[in-house]
Amino acid sequence: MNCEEALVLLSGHLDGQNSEEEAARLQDHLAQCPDCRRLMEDLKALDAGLLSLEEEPPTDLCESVMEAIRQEAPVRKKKRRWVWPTTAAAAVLILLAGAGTLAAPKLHTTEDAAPQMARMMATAVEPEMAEQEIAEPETADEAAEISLYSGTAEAALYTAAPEDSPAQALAEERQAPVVLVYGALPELDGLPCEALEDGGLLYTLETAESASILWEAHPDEAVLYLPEETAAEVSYALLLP
Amino acid sequence: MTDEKALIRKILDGDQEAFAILVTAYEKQVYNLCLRMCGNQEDARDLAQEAFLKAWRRLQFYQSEASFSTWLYRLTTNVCIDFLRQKKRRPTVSLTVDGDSEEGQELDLPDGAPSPEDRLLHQETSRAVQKAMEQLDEECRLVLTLRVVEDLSYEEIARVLDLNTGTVKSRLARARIKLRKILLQSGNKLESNSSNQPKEGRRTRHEL
Repeated sequence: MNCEEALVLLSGHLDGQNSEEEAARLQDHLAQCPDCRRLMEDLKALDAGLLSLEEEPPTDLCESVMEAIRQEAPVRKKKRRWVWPTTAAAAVLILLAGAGTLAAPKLHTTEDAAPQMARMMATAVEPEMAEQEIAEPETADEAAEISLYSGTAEAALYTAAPEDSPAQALAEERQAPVVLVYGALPELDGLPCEALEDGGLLYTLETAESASILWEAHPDEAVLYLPEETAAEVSYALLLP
Repeated sequence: MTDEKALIRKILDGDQEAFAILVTAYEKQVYNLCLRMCGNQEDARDLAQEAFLKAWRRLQFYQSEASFSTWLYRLTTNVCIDFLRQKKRRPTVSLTVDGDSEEGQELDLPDGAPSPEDRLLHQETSRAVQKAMEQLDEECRLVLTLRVVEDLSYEEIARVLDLNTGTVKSRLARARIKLRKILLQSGNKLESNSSNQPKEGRRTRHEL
Protein backbone atom coordinates (compact mmCIF):
# COMPACT_ATOMS: atom_id res chain seq x y z
CA MET A 1 0.00 0.00 0.00
CA ASN A 2 1.28 3.45 -0.85
CA CYS A 3 0.90 6.53 1.31
CA GLU A 4 -1.91 7.92 -0.76
CA GLU A 5 -4.08 4.90 -0.13
CA ALA A 6 -3.00 4.90 3.51
CA LEU A 7 -4.22 8.46 3.82
CA VAL A 8 -7.78 7.52 2.89
CA LEU A 9 -7.63 4.62 5.33
CA LEU A 10 -6.19 6.87 8.03
CA SER A 11 -9.14 9.15 7.63
CA GLY A 12 -11.47 6.16 7.63
CA HIS A 13 -9.78 4.89 10.77
CA LEU A 14 -10.45 8.16 12.58
CA ASP A 15 -14.06 7.90 11.53
CA GLY A 16 -14.32 4.26 12.58
CA GLN A 17 -15.41 3.39 9.05
CA ASN A 18 -12.73 0.98 7.89
CA SER A 19 -13.45 -2.66 7.25
CA GLU A 20 -11.38 -5.27 9.11
CA GLU A 21 -9.39 -5.89 5.98
CA GLU A 22 -8.69 -2.18 5.55
CA ALA A 23 -7.73 -1.87 9.19
CA ALA A 24 -5.23 -4.70 8.83
CA ARG A 25 -3.66 -3.21 5.72
CA LEU A 26 -3.41 0.16 7.40
CA GLN A 27 -1.68 -1.39 10.39
CA ASP A 28 0.83 -3.07 8.07
CA HIS A 29 1.56 0.21 6.38
CA LEU A 30 1.85 2.19 9.59
CA ALA A 31 4.28 -0.40 10.96
CA GLN A 32 6.72 0.48 8.22
CA CYS A 33 5.97 4.15 7.48
CA PRO A 34 6.96 6.70 10.12
CA ASP A 35 5.59 9.57 8.00
CA CYS A 36 2.12 8.11 8.04
CA ARG A 37 2.39 7.43 11.77
CA ARG A 38 3.15 11.09 12.33
CA LEU A 39 0.39 12.04 9.95
CA MET A 40 -2.07 9.98 11.93
CA GLU A 41 -1.13 11.76 15.15
CA ASP A 42 -1.60 15.11 13.42
CA LEU A 43 -4.97 14.15 12.04
CA LYS A 44 -6.10 12.92 15.44
CA ALA A 45 -5.10 16.26 16.94
CA LEU A 46 -6.97 18.04 14.17
CA ASP A 47 -10.16 16.13 14.86
CA ALA A 48 -9.84 16.84 18.56
CA GLY A 49 -9.19 20.50 17.85
CA LEU A 50 -12.20 20.68 15.58
CA LEU A 51 -14.43 19.05 18.14
CA SER A 52 -13.23 21.44 20.82
CA LEU A 53 -14.66 24.31 18.78
CA GLU A 54 -18.20 23.17 19.46
CA GLU A 55 -20.23 25.82 21.23
CA GLU A 56 -23.57 26.09 22.93
CA PRO A 57 -26.10 27.96 20.81
CA PRO A 58 -27.29 31.39 21.99
CA THR A 59 -29.78 30.89 24.81
CA ASP A 60 -32.44 32.95 23.07
CA LEU A 61 -32.14 31.23 19.69
CA CYS A 62 -35.21 29.07 20.17
CA GLU A 63 -37.29 31.94 21.47
CA SER A 64 -36.35 34.21 18.60
CA VAL A 65 -37.17 31.49 16.07
CA MET A 66 -40.56 31.00 17.71
CA GLU A 67 -41.15 34.74 17.82
CA ALA A 68 -40.51 34.96 14.07
CA ILE A 69 -42.82 32.02 13.49
CA ARG A 70 -45.64 33.60 15.45
CA GLN A 71 -45.43 36.59 13.17
CA GLU A 72 -45.89 34.39 10.14
CA ALA A 73 -49.08 32.77 9.01
CA PRO A 74 -49.74 29.30 10.39
CA VAL A 75 -48.34 26.40 8.37
CA ARG A 76 -50.14 26.40 5.08
CA LYS A 77 -51.28 23.01 3.99
CA LYS A 78 -52.08 24.09 0.51
CA LYS A 79 -50.59 22.76 -2.65
CA ARG A 80 -48.93 25.19 -4.91
CA ARG A 81 -48.88 24.04 -8.46
CA TRP A 82 -46.40 26.12 -10.36
CA VAL A 83 -44.23 28.34 -8.35
CA TRP A 84 -42.29 31.11 -9.94
CA PRO A 85 -39.96 33.56 -8.31
CA THR A 86 -40.84 37.12 -9.27
CA THR A 87 -37.58 37.49 -11.10
CA ALA A 88 -38.83 34.92 -13.55
CA ALA A 89 -41.85 37.04 -14.40
CA ALA A 90 -40.54 37.75 -17.86
CA ALA A 91 -40.12 34.06 -18.43
CA VAL A 92 -43.75 33.49 -17.50
CA LEU A 93 -44.87 35.93 -20.12
CA ILE A 94 -42.67 34.34 -22.71
CA LEU A 95 -43.91 30.90 -21.80
CA LEU A 96 -47.51 32.01 -22.04
CA ALA A 97 -46.82 33.74 -25.31
CA GLY A 98 -45.32 30.58 -26.67
CA ALA A 99 -48.02 28.29 -25.32
CA GLY A 100 -50.02 26.91 -28.22
CA THR A 101 -53.50 26.96 -26.77
CA LEU A 102 -53.28 30.40 -25.33
CA ALA A 103 -53.58 33.58 -27.27
CA ALA A 104 -50.19 35.21 -27.31
CA PRO A 105 -50.33 38.46 -25.38
CA LYS A 106 -48.08 41.30 -26.27
CA LEU A 107 -45.25 41.77 -23.86
CA HIS A 108 -46.38 45.07 -22.55
CA THR A 109 -46.46 46.18 -18.99
CA THR A 110 -49.23 44.74 -16.86
CA GLU A 111 -51.43 47.77 -17.37
CA ASP A 112 -51.12 47.57 -21.13
CA ALA A 113 -51.57 43.83 -21.41
CA ALA A 114 -54.07 42.38 -23.82
CA PRO A 115 -57.54 41.71 -22.41
CA GLN A 116 -56.95 37.96 -22.15
CA MET A 117 -53.86 38.66 -20.19
CA ALA A 118 -55.68 40.96 -17.84
CA ARG A 119 -58.31 38.30 -17.36
CA MET A 120 -55.74 35.65 -16.63
CA MET A 121 -53.79 37.72 -14.29
CA ALA A 122 -54.55 38.94 -10.83
CA THR A 123 -51.86 41.24 -9.62
CA ALA A 124 -50.72 42.06 -6.14
CA VAL A 125 -52.58 39.31 -4.39
CA GLU A 126 -51.51 37.78 -1.12
CA PRO A 127 -49.77 34.40 -1.30
CA GLU A 128 -52.91 32.81 0.10
CA MET A 129 -54.53 33.69 -3.20
CA ALA A 130 -52.52 30.91 -4.72
CA GLU A 131 -55.00 28.64 -2.99
CA GLN A 132 -57.92 29.96 -4.88
CA GLU A 133 -59.29 28.58 -8.05
CA ILE A 134 -59.19 30.97 -10.93
CA ALA A 135 -62.29 30.68 -13.02
CA GLU A 136 -61.07 30.09 -16.51
CA PRO A 137 -64.09 29.19 -18.65
CA GLU A 138 -62.31 27.39 -21.49
CA THR A 139 -59.82 25.30 -19.68
CA ALA A 140 -60.90 25.44 -16.07
CA ASP A 141 -60.88 21.70 -15.52
CA GLU A 142 -57.48 21.05 -16.94
CA ALA A 143 -56.00 24.29 -15.86
CA ALA A 144 -52.88 24.29 -13.77
CA GLU A 145 -52.16 27.17 -11.53
CA ILE A 146 -49.10 29.23 -11.81
CA SER A 147 -48.46 31.26 -8.80
CA LEU A 148 -45.95 33.95 -9.18
CA TYR A 149 -44.77 35.18 -5.91
CA SER A 150 -41.86 36.41 -3.96
CA GLY A 151 -41.91 35.81 -0.24
CA THR A 152 -45.03 37.41 1.12
CA ALA A 153 -45.11 40.30 -1.29
CA GLU A 154 -46.82 40.45 -4.62
CA ALA A 155 -48.16 37.52 -6.51
CA ALA A 156 -49.99 37.03 -9.74
CA LEU A 157 -52.01 34.05 -10.89
CA TYR A 158 -52.13 32.60 -14.33
CA THR A 159 -53.72 29.54 -15.73
CA ALA A 160 -52.28 27.37 -18.42
CA ALA A 161 -53.07 23.88 -19.57
CA PRO A 162 -50.68 21.21 -18.20
CA GLU A 163 -50.05 19.84 -21.68
CA ASP A 164 -48.34 23.10 -22.50
CA SER A 165 -45.70 22.40 -19.94
CA PRO A 166 -43.58 19.29 -20.25
CA ALA A 167 -42.40 19.79 -16.68
CA GLN A 168 -45.93 19.88 -15.29
CA ALA A 169 -46.87 16.90 -17.41
CA LEU A 170 -43.88 14.99 -16.07
CA ALA A 171 -44.72 15.96 -12.52
CA GLU A 172 -48.23 14.58 -12.94
CA GLU A 173 -47.04 11.46 -14.75
CA ARG A 174 -44.46 10.59 -12.12
CA GLN A 175 -46.42 11.99 -9.20
CA ALA A 176 -43.27 13.73 -8.09
CA PRO A 177 -42.03 17.31 -7.90
CA VAL A 178 -40.11 18.41 -10.98
CA VAL A 179 -37.77 21.35 -11.01
CA LEU A 180 -37.16 22.81 -14.44
CA VAL A 181 -33.63 24.19 -14.61
CA TYR A 182 -32.31 26.62 -17.15
CA GLY A 183 -28.78 25.34 -17.18
CA ALA A 184 -26.67 22.45 -15.96
CA LEU A 185 -26.44 23.16 -12.24
CA PRO A 186 -23.41 21.80 -10.39
CA GLU A 187 -25.66 19.88 -7.99
CA LEU A 188 -26.77 17.68 -10.88
CA ASP A 189 -23.28 16.39 -11.58
CA GLY A 190 -23.14 12.65 -11.33
CA LEU A 191 -26.83 12.12 -10.61
CA PRO A 192 -28.71 9.37 -12.44
CA CYS A 193 -30.04 10.85 -15.62
CA GLU A 194 -32.32 9.73 -18.43
CA ALA A 195 -32.60 11.24 -21.88
CA LEU A 196 -36.13 12.17 -22.90
CA GLU A 197 -37.50 11.83 -26.42
CA ASP A 198 -37.46 15.55 -27.03
CA GLY A 199 -33.80 15.73 -26.12
CA GLY A 200 -34.35 16.89 -22.56
CA LEU A 201 -32.43 15.40 -19.66
CA LEU A 202 -34.24 14.19 -16.58
CA TYR A 203 -32.17 13.85 -13.43
CA THR A 204 -33.46 11.79 -10.53
CA LEU A 205 -33.06 13.58 -7.20
CA GLU A 206 -32.71 11.51 -4.11
CA THR A 207 -35.71 12.63 -2.12
CA ALA A 208 -39.08 14.17 -2.83
CA GLU A 209 -38.05 17.48 -1.37
CA SER A 210 -34.77 17.68 -3.29
CA ALA A 211 -36.47 19.46 -6.19
CA SER A 212 -37.76 22.25 -3.98
CA ILE A 213 -34.40 22.56 -2.25
CA LEU A 214 -32.72 22.88 -5.62
CA TRP A 215 -35.28 25.44 -6.70
CA GLU A 216 -34.76 27.40 -3.52
CA ALA A 217 -31.00 27.36 -4.01
CA HIS A 218 -31.36 28.69 -7.55
CA PRO A 219 -34.49 30.83 -7.65
CA ASP A 220 -33.35 32.60 -10.79
CA GLU A 221 -32.40 29.49 -12.66
CA ALA A 222 -35.16 27.08 -11.84
CA VAL A 223 -38.92 26.68 -11.70
CA LEU A 224 -40.66 24.21 -9.46
CA TYR A 225 -43.62 22.14 -10.61
CA LEU A 226 -45.63 20.21 -8.09
CA PRO A 227 -48.02 17.43 -9.04
CA GLU A 228 -51.57 17.18 -7.83
CA GLU A 229 -50.55 14.21 -5.72
CA THR A 230 -47.01 13.53 -4.60
CA ALA A 231 -46.61 9.77 -4.35
CA ALA A 232 -43.00 9.22 -5.36
CA GLU A 233 -40.12 9.20 -2.91
CA VAL A 234 -37.85 10.94 -5.35
CA SER A 235 -38.12 14.13 -7.35
CA TYR A 236 -36.70 15.22 -10.66
CA ALA A 237 -34.75 17.99 -12.29
CA LEU A 238 -35.56 18.63 -15.93
CA LEU A 239 -33.03 20.25 -18.23
CA LEU A 240 -34.65 21.07 -21.55
CA PRO A 241 -32.56 21.15 -24.73
CA MET B 1 -38.02 8.38 15.40
CA THR B 2 -41.76 7.88 15.65
CA ASP B 3 -42.11 10.47 18.41
CA GLU B 4 -40.60 12.99 16.09
CA LYS B 5 -42.95 12.09 13.28
CA ALA B 6 -45.93 12.35 15.58
CA LEU B 7 -44.63 15.71 16.70
CA ILE B 8 -44.32 16.93 13.13
CA ARG B 9 -47.84 15.80 12.37
CA LYS B 10 -49.02 17.73 15.39
CA ILE B 11 -47.24 20.85 14.18
CA LEU B 12 -48.69 20.49 10.69
CA ASP B 13 -52.12 20.08 12.25
CA GLY B 14 -51.78 23.57 13.61
CA ASP B 15 -49.87 23.35 16.89
CA GLN B 16 -47.16 25.78 15.95
CA GLU B 17 -45.78 26.07 19.49
CA ALA B 18 -44.76 22.41 19.30
CA PHE B 19 -42.13 23.46 16.76
CA ALA B 20 -40.11 24.78 19.72
CA ILE B 21 -39.48 21.16 20.74
CA LEU B 22 -37.82 20.50 17.39
CA VAL B 23 -35.79 23.68 17.65
CA THR B 24 -34.56 22.79 21.10
CA ALA B 25 -33.67 19.28 19.99
CA TYR B 26 -31.60 20.45 17.03
CA GLU B 27 -30.41 23.97 17.80
CA LYS B 28 -26.95 22.90 18.92
CA GLN B 29 -26.31 20.88 15.77
CA VAL B 30 -27.72 23.50 13.46
CA TYR B 31 -25.93 26.36 15.18
CA ASN B 32 -22.56 24.61 15.18
CA LEU B 33 -22.84 23.68 11.51
CA CYS B 34 -23.59 27.33 10.73
CA LEU B 35 -20.80 28.49 13.00
CA ARG B 36 -18.18 26.32 11.31
CA MET B 37 -19.42 27.29 7.86
CA CYS B 38 -19.56 31.06 8.40
CA GLY B 39 -16.87 31.40 11.05
CA ASN B 40 -18.47 33.85 13.45
CA GLN B 41 -21.16 33.76 16.11
CA GLU B 42 -23.23 36.63 14.86
CA ASP B 43 -23.73 35.22 11.37
CA ALA B 44 -24.12 31.73 12.80
CA ARG B 45 -27.01 32.88 14.91
CA ASP B 46 -28.73 34.51 11.94
CA LEU B 47 -28.12 31.50 9.74
CA ALA B 48 -29.40 29.07 12.35
CA GLN B 49 -32.52 31.14 12.75
CA GLU B 50 -32.99 31.26 9.01
CA ALA B 51 -32.55 27.50 8.74
CA PHE B 52 -35.22 26.87 11.36
CA LEU B 53 -37.58 29.35 9.74
CA LYS B 54 -37.07 27.62 6.41
CA ALA B 55 -37.76 24.30 8.06
CA TRP B 56 -40.93 25.77 9.50
CA ARG B 57 -42.09 27.13 6.18
CA ARG B 58 -41.28 23.94 4.32
CA LEU B 59 -42.41 21.46 6.92
CA GLN B 60 -45.32 20.34 4.75
CA PHE B 61 -42.80 19.28 2.11
CA TYR B 62 -40.94 17.11 4.56
CA GLN B 63 -41.36 13.48 3.55
CA SER B 64 -41.34 11.28 6.57
CA GLU B 65 -39.39 8.57 4.71
CA ALA B 66 -36.26 10.66 5.14
CA SER B 67 -35.01 11.26 8.63
CA PHE B 68 -35.88 14.69 9.90
CA SER B 69 -32.31 15.42 10.92
CA THR B 70 -31.04 14.63 7.42
CA TRP B 71 -33.67 16.93 5.98
CA LEU B 72 -32.79 19.68 8.45
CA TYR B 73 -29.05 19.33 7.79
CA ARG B 74 -29.76 19.70 4.10
CA LEU B 75 -31.76 22.85 4.63
CA THR B 76 -29.09 24.25 6.93
CA THR B 77 -26.34 23.37 4.48
CA ASN B 78 -28.18 25.20 1.71
CA VAL B 79 -28.73 28.24 3.89
CA CYS B 80 -25.01 28.34 4.70
CA ILE B 81 -23.93 27.84 1.09
CA ASP B 82 -26.26 30.60 -0.09
CA PHE B 83 -24.81 32.87 2.53
CA LEU B 84 -21.25 32.07 1.51
CA ARG B 85 -22.08 32.61 -2.16
CA GLN B 86 -23.48 36.03 -1.44
CA LYS B 87 -20.48 36.83 0.67
CA LYS B 88 -18.19 35.76 -2.15
CA ARG B 89 -19.65 38.40 -4.42
CA ARG B 90 -18.08 40.94 -2.13
CA PRO B 91 -14.37 41.28 -2.70
CA THR B 92 -12.79 39.14 -0.06
CA VAL B 93 -9.61 37.20 0.10
CA SER B 94 -10.33 33.59 -0.60
CA LEU B 95 -8.26 30.53 -1.18
CA THR B 96 -9.14 28.78 -4.35
CA VAL B 97 -8.90 25.07 -4.60
CA ASP B 98 -10.07 23.95 -7.98
CA GLY B 99 -11.13 20.63 -9.38
CA ASP B 100 -14.63 19.39 -8.74
CA SER B 101 -14.32 15.80 -9.78
CA GLU B 102 -13.48 13.39 -7.05
CA GLU B 103 -12.09 10.70 -9.29
CA GLY B 104 -8.62 11.10 -10.63
CA GLN B 105 -7.86 13.95 -8.32
CA GLU B 106 -4.65 13.41 -6.53
CA LEU B 107 -4.59 13.73 -2.83
CA ASP B 108 -2.17 16.28 -1.59
CA LEU B 109 0.29 14.22 0.26
CA PRO B 110 2.59 15.82 2.69
CA ASP B 111 5.92 16.08 0.92
CA GLY B 112 8.36 13.97 2.84
CA ALA B 113 8.83 13.97 6.54
CA PRO B 114 7.81 17.24 8.12
CA SER B 115 10.61 19.10 9.82
CA PRO B 116 10.36 19.48 13.60
CA GLU B 117 8.96 23.02 13.42
CA ASP B 118 6.34 21.78 10.96
CA ARG B 119 4.97 19.33 13.42
CA LEU B 120 1.56 20.07 14.64
CA LEU B 121 2.03 20.88 18.25
CA HIS B 122 -0.12 19.10 20.71
CA GLN B 123 -0.76 22.26 22.58
CA GLU B 124 -4.15 23.90 22.59
CA THR B 125 -4.87 24.01 18.88
CA SER B 126 -8.45 25.22 18.95
CA ARG B 127 -7.74 28.71 17.80
CA ALA B 128 -5.36 27.58 15.12
CA VAL B 129 -7.84 24.97 13.91
CA GLN B 130 -10.57 27.55 13.85
CA LYS B 131 -8.49 29.90 11.72
CA ALA B 132 -7.45 27.08 9.44
CA MET B 133 -11.06 26.00 8.98
CA GLU B 134 -11.88 29.52 7.82
CA GLN B 135 -9.31 29.15 5.07
CA LEU B 136 -10.46 25.72 4.01
CA ASP B 137 -12.75 25.60 0.98
CA GLU B 138 -16.40 25.26 1.88
CA GLU B 139 -16.84 21.79 0.41
CA CYS B 140 -14.15 20.40 2.69
CA ARG B 141 -15.29 22.45 5.65
CA LEU B 142 -18.79 21.14 5.25
CA VAL B 143 -17.87 17.48 5.07
CA LEU B 144 -15.45 17.76 8.00
CA THR B 145 -17.98 19.55 10.15
CA LEU B 146 -20.72 17.06 9.39
CA ARG B 147 -18.38 14.20 10.23
CA VAL B 148 -16.34 15.42 13.17
CA VAL B 149 -18.50 18.06 14.84
CA GLU B 150 -21.95 16.73 14.01
CA ASP B 151 -20.84 13.10 14.24
CA LEU B 152 -22.75 11.95 11.18
CA SER B 153 -21.88 8.62 9.61
CA TYR B 154 -20.64 8.43 6.01
CA GLU B 155 -24.08 7.23 4.99
CA GLU B 156 -25.81 10.16 6.66
CA ILE B 157 -23.38 12.64 5.13
CA ALA B 158 -23.97 11.04 1.73
CA ARG B 159 -27.70 11.55 2.15
CA VAL B 160 -27.33 15.15 3.29
CA LEU B 161 -24.99 16.10 0.46
CA ASP B 162 -26.38 13.82 -2.26
CA LEU B 163 -23.07 12.05 -2.69
CA ASN B 164 -22.12 8.42 -2.60
CA THR B 165 -20.28 7.15 0.44
CA GLY B 166 -17.08 6.56 -1.53
CA THR B 167 -17.00 10.22 -2.42
CA VAL B 168 -17.64 11.18 1.19
CA LYS B 169 -14.74 9.00 2.27
CA SER B 170 -12.24 10.42 -0.20
CA ARG B 171 -13.45 13.97 0.35
CA LEU B 172 -12.93 13.61 4.09
CA ALA B 173 -9.39 12.36 3.57
CA ARG B 174 -8.71 15.27 1.24
CA ALA B 175 -10.27 17.76 3.66
CA ARG B 176 -8.13 16.54 6.55
CA ILE B 177 -4.94 16.81 4.55
CA LYS B 178 -5.81 20.27 3.34
CA LEU B 179 -6.65 21.43 6.83
CA ARG B 180 -3.39 20.05 8.16
CA LYS B 181 -1.48 21.74 5.39
CA ILE B 182 -3.11 25.09 6.11
CA LEU B 183 -2.32 24.70 9.79
CA LEU B 184 1.31 23.87 9.17
CA GLN B 185 1.65 26.74 6.74
CA SER B 186 0.06 29.26 9.05
CA GLY B 187 2.31 27.99 11.82
CA ASN B 188 5.25 28.72 9.62
CA LYS B 189 3.94 32.10 8.75
CA LEU B 190 3.56 33.05 12.35
CA GLU B 191 7.12 32.02 12.98
CA SER B 192 8.43 33.86 9.98
CA ASN B 193 6.44 36.95 10.88
CA SER B 194 8.02 37.13 14.26
CA SER B 195 11.47 36.84 12.80
CA ASN B 196 10.60 38.90 9.70
CA GLN B 197 11.78 36.13 7.46
CA PRO B 198 9.01 35.20 5.09
CA LYS B 199 9.55 31.76 3.68
CA GLU B 200 8.43 32.23 0.11
CA GLY B 201 9.63 28.80 -0.76
CA ARG B 202 6.83 27.22 1.19
CA ARG B 203 4.06 28.75 -0.87
CA THR B 204 1.85 26.30 -2.61
CA ARG B 205 -1.09 26.49 -4.95
CA HIS B 206 -3.33 26.75 -1.93
CA GLU B 207 -2.06 30.16 -1.23
CA LEU B 208 -2.84 33.30 -3.05
